[in-house]
Amino acid sequence: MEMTNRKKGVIAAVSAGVLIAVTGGVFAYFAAKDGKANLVRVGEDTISVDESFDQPEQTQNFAYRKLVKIDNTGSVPCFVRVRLEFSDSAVQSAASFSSDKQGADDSVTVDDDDIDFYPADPADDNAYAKHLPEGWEYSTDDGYYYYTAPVAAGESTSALISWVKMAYEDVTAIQAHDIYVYAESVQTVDPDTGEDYADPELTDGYKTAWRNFTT
Amino acid sequence: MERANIKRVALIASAAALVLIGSTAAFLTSSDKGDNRFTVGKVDLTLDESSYTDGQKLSAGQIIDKNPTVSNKGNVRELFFVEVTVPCMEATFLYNDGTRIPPANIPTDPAAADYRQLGEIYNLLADGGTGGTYKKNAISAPSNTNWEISCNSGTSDQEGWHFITKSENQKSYDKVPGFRNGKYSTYVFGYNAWVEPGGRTVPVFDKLQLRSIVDADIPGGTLTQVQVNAYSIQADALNVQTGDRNGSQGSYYTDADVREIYKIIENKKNG
Repeated sequence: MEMTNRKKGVIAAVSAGVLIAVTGGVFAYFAAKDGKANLVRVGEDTISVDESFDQPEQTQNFAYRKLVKIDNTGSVPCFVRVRLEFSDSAVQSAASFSSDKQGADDSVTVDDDDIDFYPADPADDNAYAKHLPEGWEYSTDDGYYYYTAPVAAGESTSALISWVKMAYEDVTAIQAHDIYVYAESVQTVDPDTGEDYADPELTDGYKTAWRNFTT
Repeated sequence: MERANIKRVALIASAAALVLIGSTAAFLTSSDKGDNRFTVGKVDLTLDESSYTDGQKLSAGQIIDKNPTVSNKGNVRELFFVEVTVPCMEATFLYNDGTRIPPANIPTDPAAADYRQLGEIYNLLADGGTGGTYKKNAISAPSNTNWEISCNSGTSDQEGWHFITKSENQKSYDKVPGFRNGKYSTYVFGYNAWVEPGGRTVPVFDKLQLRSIVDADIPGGTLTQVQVNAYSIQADALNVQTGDRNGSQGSYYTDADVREIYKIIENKKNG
C-alpha cells in the first residue's frame, strides 16, 4: 500500500484545554466589608440646688438649719458657682452663716460654743466669705461663691453653708425674709479647643473655664 | 472504477496512519505527572478602633479618641475604602468667639429660633503625622469656626487616605435600636496603597469632636451613631486605568487613581 500525494486523512487531534469561565464585569472581583456602629451621646450639663431647710419660728436671736449643696444632675462633669442673696439688705446685716455640724441629727442653739458663725455680708471684715469650707472660694469681683473642683455627673459639691443665725438688734427688726440660692454650672471642657479644665495638673482650671464662659 | 480505487487508497492511507500513530506512540511516549494546585484567593478585613470607647457622653467641643484602621485578614493583597457617617441635627451653631452662626436666609430681625439650622454636629480630626503635616480637610470650614472633616492623607511618598466623595442621607447602614433618626452626611475615603495579608492601614483619622452648639437645641442624652464601614477589594487583576502607579511601596495611588478604583466598589454595592 502506498501513500499517494492525494489528500490523506486528517488525523484529528483533540487536546484538552482549560475552559475559562468569563463572568460579567465587576462582580468577578473579590470584595469584603466590615463596619462599626459607634454610639455617642450628647452630654447634658444640668444642676439642682439641694437644700435641707428647717422652717424656723423667728425670734430676736435664733438659728436654723439651711444646708446648701449643688447636685450635678447632668451627664458630664461641670464647675459650679453660687450666689447667696437676701431679700432685704437689712436682714443680711443681722445674719451669719456656719458650715459646721452638717449631720442630719445635729442641732444648734444660738449659745452653742462648738459652732462658729461668721457674718453673711461679704463686705464684713470677718465675713463668712473669708471662712469658707474646703473647696469653696469667694470672688469679690462678681460676688459668686466658686466650687474649685469639678463635680462629676451624679455627684455633689460639699455644703456651702449648713446653718443660719439671725441676731436682730431688737424685736421690731424681725421680719420675714428669703435667702435666695442661685447656682450656675459650666462644662469642664473648652467648647472650642476641647481642652479639659478638670485636668488635675492644671492650676485653677475652674477660673479658666468660667472666664472662657463669661468672655 | 476510479472511485473504488480512491476509496481503497483512502482506507489504506487511514490504516497506515493509524499504524503510524501506533508505532510512533511506541517509541516516543513518556509520561509525567504534575500537581497544579490553585488556592482560591480570599478577601477579608477587619475594622478596628483601638482607642475608642463606645457610649461616651460629650460636652460641646469635647474631643475623644477615635482611630479607625483597617486590617487585611485575607490571603491576597487588598485595597481599602472607608465610609464615615456624620449625624446632622437642627441646632444653633457657634463661631469660635461664641456668637451664633446665622443660617443663609436669616430674617432681618432674627429671634433666637431663627438661628437654628441643619448641620453636622461632629468634627473628624486627623493628627496628620509629625507636625500635622499629612492631613487634609475634606470640607471648606466657615471662617472663625473649627469645623473639620480631615483624614491622615496619602501623598506620593507616604501611605494614607484620599478623600473621595461626600453624600447626604445615603441610607447605607443599619441603625442600632434607640438611635435618633435624622439626616446625616457620609464621607468616603480611599487608601493609596494595597495592603499585604496581615498588614494594616494608618488610621483614617484620630479623634472625634462635638462641635460648639447651643445645648438647649439638642436634648441632653441624645444618642447619635457615627457609623464607620470599611470595604476591601482585591488589589490584583483590576481592570482599572490607574496611570503609572500601582499602589505598591513608593508607587502610591494618586487621588484620581483611588477615585477610579472606588467606582468598582460603588458598582458592587449598588448591584
